[in-house]
Formats: sequence, structure tokens, C-alpha cells
Amino acid sequence: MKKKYNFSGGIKCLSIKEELDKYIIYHIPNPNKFYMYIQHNTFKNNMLRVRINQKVLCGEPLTFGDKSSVPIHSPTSGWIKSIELDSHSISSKKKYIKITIVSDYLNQWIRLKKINDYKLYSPKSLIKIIYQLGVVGLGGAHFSSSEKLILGINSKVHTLVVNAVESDPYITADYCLMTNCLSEIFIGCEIITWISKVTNILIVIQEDKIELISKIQSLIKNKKLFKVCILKKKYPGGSSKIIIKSLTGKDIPYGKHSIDIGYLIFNVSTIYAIKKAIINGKPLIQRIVSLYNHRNHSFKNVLIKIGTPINFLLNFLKINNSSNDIYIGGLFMKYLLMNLNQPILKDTNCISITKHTRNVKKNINYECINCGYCVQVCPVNLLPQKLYLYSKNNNHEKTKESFIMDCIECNICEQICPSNIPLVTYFKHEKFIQNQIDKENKKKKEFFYRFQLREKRILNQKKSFYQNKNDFNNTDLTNTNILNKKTNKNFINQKQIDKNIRKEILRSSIERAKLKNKNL
Amino acid sequence: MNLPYIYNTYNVKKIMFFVLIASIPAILTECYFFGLVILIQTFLFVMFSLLFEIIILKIRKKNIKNNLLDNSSILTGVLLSLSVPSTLTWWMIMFSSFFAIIVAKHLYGGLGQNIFNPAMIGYAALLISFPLYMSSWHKENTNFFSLNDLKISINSIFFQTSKSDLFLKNYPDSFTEATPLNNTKNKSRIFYNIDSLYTKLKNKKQNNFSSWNYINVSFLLGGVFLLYKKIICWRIPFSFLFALVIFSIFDYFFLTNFIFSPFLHLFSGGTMMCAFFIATDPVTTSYSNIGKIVFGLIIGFLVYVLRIYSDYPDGVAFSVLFGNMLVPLIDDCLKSSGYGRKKT
Ligand code: SF4
Ligand code: SF4
Repeated sequence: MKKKYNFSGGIKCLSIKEELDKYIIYHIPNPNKFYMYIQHNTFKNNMLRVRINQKVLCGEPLTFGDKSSVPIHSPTSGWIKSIELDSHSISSKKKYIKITIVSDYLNQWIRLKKINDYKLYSPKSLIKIIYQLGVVGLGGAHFSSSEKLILGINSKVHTLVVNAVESDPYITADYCLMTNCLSEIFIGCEIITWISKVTNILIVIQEDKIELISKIQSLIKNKKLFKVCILKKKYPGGSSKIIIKSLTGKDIPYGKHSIDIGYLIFNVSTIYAIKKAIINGKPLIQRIVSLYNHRNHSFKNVLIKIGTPINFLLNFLKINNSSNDIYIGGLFMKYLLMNLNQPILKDTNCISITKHTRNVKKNINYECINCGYCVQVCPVNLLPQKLYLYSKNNNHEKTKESFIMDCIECNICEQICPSNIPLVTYFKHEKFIQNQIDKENKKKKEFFYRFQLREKRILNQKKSFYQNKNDFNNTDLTNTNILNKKTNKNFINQKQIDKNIRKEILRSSIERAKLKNKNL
Repeated sequence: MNLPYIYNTYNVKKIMFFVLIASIPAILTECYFFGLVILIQTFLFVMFSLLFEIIILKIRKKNIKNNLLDNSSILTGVLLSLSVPSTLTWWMIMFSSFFAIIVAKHLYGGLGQNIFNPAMIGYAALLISFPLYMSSWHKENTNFFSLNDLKISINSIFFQTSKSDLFLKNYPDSFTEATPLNNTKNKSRIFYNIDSLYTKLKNKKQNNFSSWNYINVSFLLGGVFLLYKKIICWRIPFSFLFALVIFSIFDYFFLTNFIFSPFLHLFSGGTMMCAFFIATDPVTTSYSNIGKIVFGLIIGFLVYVLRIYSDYPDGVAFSVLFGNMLVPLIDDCLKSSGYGRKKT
């Protein structure tokens, strides 16, 4: 038996009965309308490439993209119906640009630029292609892959970690993808190897996928680069921090990424998307979403276009949404969907359905009985119960000292708590407050810095002014000849000083502008 | 402790309920040795605890139904009745449950906020106020579960009539829980040879001599059940027993003649009960893993010291209370660091 990697904390889950014939990808037809949500940047006016009533083709980029966001592509051919500002129900505080596209059911593609031999291209240009085709991390982090690769080139990674661990116990999207498109994933791995020059590739997979493991092992027998790492089946295994910890036993230092210690982590579906982008030239417009039904423990994996309203998906699969509660996310990390017109986003990996219960089961909340279950299950060594006490009593300094910002919001502690305390709700609130405090502190610092600059400037002005005056007073007014000479000289001096002051003002304003940019 | 479940299969109610179930063997064994008086006593303790709970909840204007149903006050009553001798009258029971529920629990803020173990506070209050009652034990029970037995026990609890029958003041060869400890201790003070005492006891009343062993074993059984159910963590009981055994072994080898053997330490008095039922009370113990071990070691040491050097027969209650006092300090010192930071 091979060594199984493990980490402290976390919980095992009861396994579901796995029927292999269910790992088939269902194709979903085009809906009538697509909704695309685009993160917008207030400092950039012309992000959009399209206008209302314009005709778009499948795969046509809708935005230019900038440093923080990749371009987004049209999932269908059709017309742009409207462009408006809206917020989606997961993060209701932020406003997004919402583009509605009406499909014409023709699915005409734009001309795709296929690359057969990627080794003819330099890594930089490949990364550019990946950026332009809008590949982001599909595991849930929504981090731009091109940026990750650039960071990887800059800081010398040695290992590529292929994350095939499901982020929630009952999601099967990654597994489904691996069983169906294993060879394409290997090609994707090779592309990344070419780009970032890693020396070995670890495929991390959980122990219950026995058939897949043996399949992979037989495939990689004569490839030196690859290695399979088997992880114990536990939740949460999918987070990058935890994968690194279970593989190496090391913690990622605070405030750093796994890239900084030489590990490049990609989700399987991201690798698949990279392969599609480079070899087939297809932009990221569709993904696999698993559909988990709590009522009869059944699951389905559907290949769905990003932007499809969830309502359409449910209707197509004949799931009655009046008697069900629809959540985005798996068992542990889930949000209740209020608005069913919400589309599939790039980081949606699971939709779970539970029976709608009108009168919610009475869960009596007791006081914390200090049992320490939560401390034992926390995968990142926090003390949830301490955090709860501090955040309940608004003790913000202590919560910060207890490292609340490290919490990955995995929800285990809440599930295990015998007193039914909504711990993570408290933590989220507390994190929000902590962010606010941080912002405030930053602002204060900035203001103080500006204030100091201003004081200096004023002092300099005063100094130069008084120096001039003194010069003036010292001059001998009686002697006209000398006066002439001196005034002339003084005049030149004055000009010089004026110029200096103006320069100084200009310089400081430039500096301020720079500072502003940096902080935003 | 990785619970193999998805949802919280334990809630507070269930935890308390399982502890109650685990204490059933001990109750039955005590019943066997002391008669029906134990059952009546337990019933009274539970009733008074619930009564006080209701009163204080009314005063504090809390939701009575929710708070009463968490089983914690019932558990306090049962644990109290298991730890006191069976010769108490009803007003003593009331006194003790008053201290346990109102003073130790609700004056500190209710379930989850108490610093001291309620049952042990109730016990300590009795021990300080009525030391004589607390160190005298029941006579041997000959007529199990008969009508006569019932009569005697009711008399003793409610009317205190058959005092001369039941009380065994300074009876040298008294046979159950704390008294042998007390007795041997008294003897050891005056360099009495314990070995001869043992043989005397063994020859005289084989059955009675080992009755406290049986009770301890039944507590152990309940504890194993709790461990199996993963309701309590193994760290506290084991570190506690470990400390107790280590210290007593040291002494036993150097001063064989007038110190009890480790076996006597382990299976006498309230050792097992303390290890599995009292010291593992989640509220009043440390929550971190290392903290739990430290807490167990401290209690073990204290129990040993109190048994050997103090004038009280059994040091369990006081050592648990002292341990509870130290818990905030332990928690503060043993902070675990966050993810990926250097240990502070
Ligand atoms: S939600 Fe946060 S505190 Fe709770 S177990 Fe997960 S990481 Fe730990
Ligand atoms: S699991 Fe719940 S009751 Fe137990 S210590 Fe943590 S917060 Fe408190």
C-alpha cells in the first residue's frame, strides 16, 4: 500500500454509493438568455467591447480585461440585449456589470486560433494566450491562472500540484472530468511544465477513487515527471493551504502563497481549460457543475455554459424548485440562492438541492460548553471557541491576535458544535470589521503622511520667504549703485527660488498621486 | 477526535444524556451494596436540582423549557448523589443541590460559564459543613431490595429516626468508599502497620472489603462507554490516572509500610468517578489538547497529596476544584499558534 497523506483536523464523511455509470457528462442545450456578470473597475471607463444591440458570435470577447480581471467571452452567438449595473446574490454588497445576451441558437463560433505544437511558442506568449482566453482558477478561488503562471516563472517553482481533490465531500465534478478526459489533462500538465519549467508533477487524489488511481498509475508508468499522491478522504482537502500541509507537513508562511515556497497548484478543471485554450484555442465558456440532491443522495454532472441561469438548468432537468431549497456550493460551504435567475459563474462548482422545510427544525442554541470539539477539527490550528468569545464581546484586538484572518471558513467547526452556535457567521462578521479597521488604519497613516508633507512644504516656503526678506533688509539702500546691482541679483535669486518652490509643489503632488494609485 | 459524521450528531442534550446512561452501572452497583436508599437519594437529588433550576431560570427570565431540557441539571444531581455517602437526610440534599445549581452554576452565568464543577461544589459544601456525616457510611446491606430495606432508607432520609442503626461513627473496620482510606490514613499516622490491617480486613469481610473496588470498576465501565462514544477525550482520565499511579508508586517503594499501594489509590474512593465523570466535564476544563493533559496531571498530583497529607478522607473534590481554578491560567499559557506563523 502506498503512503497516504494526511493532515490534522478535518472530519471524515460518510461515503455515498458510487455508481460508475453516473459519471457521465450531461450536455445542456442553450437557454434563451445568458447573463454575464463582470467585475468592473471604476478607474477604467472603456472596459466593454460591445454595445447594446450588437451581434456577437460564440467566443467573442466582451471585455478588454485589465490587471485584476481577465477578459470574458460570449458563450453563444446572438445579440446583446442590455448592459446594466447589478449585484448578484452571493456578494450583494458589490456591484457588477450585468450583460444580457439573447441567443439565436445557431452557435456560430468566431475563428479559433489553434496551436498544434505549443513548444514553438515562448512561455510568455503562451501565458498571454491563456490570459486572453479568460482562464481562471475553477476550483473556487477565481484567481487568474495567467497571473499565477507569471508568479511561478518569476519565483522558480519546482513542483506542479494537480489538485484533483473535491473541495466538498459530495461534489464529483473533478472526478467526472478526470474519468472522461484524462489524456487531455495530461497534455495540459505538459503545457504547464513547458511554461514554468517544473521538475515534477504531483497528482493529488483522495483514497476512495480507487479505479481512477490505478488508471492513472498505469498511464504514468513510463513518465518520469508524474507521481500520484493519495490523500485520506477527509473534508476539507481541497484548499491549497491544506494540500501543501498534508503533502509536505509545512505551513505556508503567513501572507504568502504556495508559489513562494515552490509549489504551483492547479485544479484539474483549470488544467483542462488551459489545454482547451492552447491546443483548441477555445476560450473558457463552459464548465462542469455537479448537481447534488440531498433527498435521494443522487448526483449528476452537467457540462454547462457559463452564464446559463440556474432556473433554466433546473427546468431542463425537471426539478421542481418550489418544494426545494437550492444552494450554491456543496454540503459545507453553501449559500442559499434567493434569486433563481442567478447564472452559473466561473467558480460555481456545485448546486445542491434540499427539501424545502417551511418550519425550520428547532435547533436550540445553547451557550458554548467549552467542549473543544471545534478546536480538534479545525484544519488550520485555530481556536474557534476563543474566536467566538472574543468576537461576540467585540474584542477586536484579541480576535486579531488569535489570527482570525487565517480562518478559511470551512464550516466544520460549526457543523460539529454541539451547542449549534453559528460560529462562521460570527467569524465572517468579525472579518468584515477587521477589514474595516485595517482600512481605517491605512487611511490614518496616509493622512498623517500627507500632513507631514504639507507641513514640510509650508515650512520650506516660509523659510525661503524669510531668507529673501533678510536679504532685502541687508541691502544698503543708501548707495544707489550698489542697490541696483544687488536688486538685480536679488531678482534673479527670487526667480530661482520661485522656480524651486513650484518644482517642489509639483513633485509633492506627483508623489501624492502615486501614493493614491498604490493604495487603490 | 475525528467524528465520522457529517452533521452534528451530538448536541448538548445528547452529550449529557450519554453521560447519564454511562452512570447507570455505578448506580446499580451502589444499589446492590447499600440498598434502595441510593435510588431514593438519587431521585431526591435530581428533583431538587430541577426545582432550583426552574426557580433560578424564572428569576433570570430565561426560556425555561429550552434550558431545562439540556439534561445538565439532572446530570449534576446524579453525580452528586453518586459522590456523597448514603446517609444524608433530605435537607442536606437540598442544601447541597442549592449550592451546586444556584451558587456554582447560575451565579456564574449558567451552563457554559461556570468556573467550578457544580457537583463538586455541592459536595465540598457538604463536606465543609457536615464533615461527620460525610465520612460515615452505611452498614452492610443484608436484605437486598426488600420492604424492610425500603422502610429503613425512607426513615433514614426523611425522619432520621434509625440513626443508631445506620451510623457507624468511628467504627474501625467500616467497609466502604472513603472510610477505609480514612481509616488507613489514621492508622498510618501513628505508624500502624498497614499490612496487618489489610490481612485483617481481608480475612474478616472478604465481600465488603472489595465493595468499593466493584463500584470503581462500574465507573470504569461507564467511562469506557463514554470513551467509545467519543464524548469524553482520553487525555484527561489517562493523564490523571497516570499521575496518580506514578506518585503513589514512588512512595510505595520507599515507604512500603505505612503508605497505601497504587492499587488502593486507583480503586478506592472516587478515583474512577473523578477520572471519567468529574474531571472530564467540558465546561470547567481546558479546551486544548495539551491543556487537557496538564490539567489531568495537576489533578492527579493534588489527589495524591490530599489523600496522603490532608485530614480529609478523599481529596478528589478539592483537587478538582483547585484544578478548575488553574484552568484559565493553563489556557492562557498554552495558546496554540495560528496557521503558518511561528509559535509564540
Ligand atoms: S471555519 Fe475557520 S475556525 Fe472553523 S474549522 Fe474552519 S478554519 Fe477553523
Ligand atoms: S464546539 Fe461549540 S460548544 Fe464546543 S467549544 Fe466549540 S464553540 Fe463551544
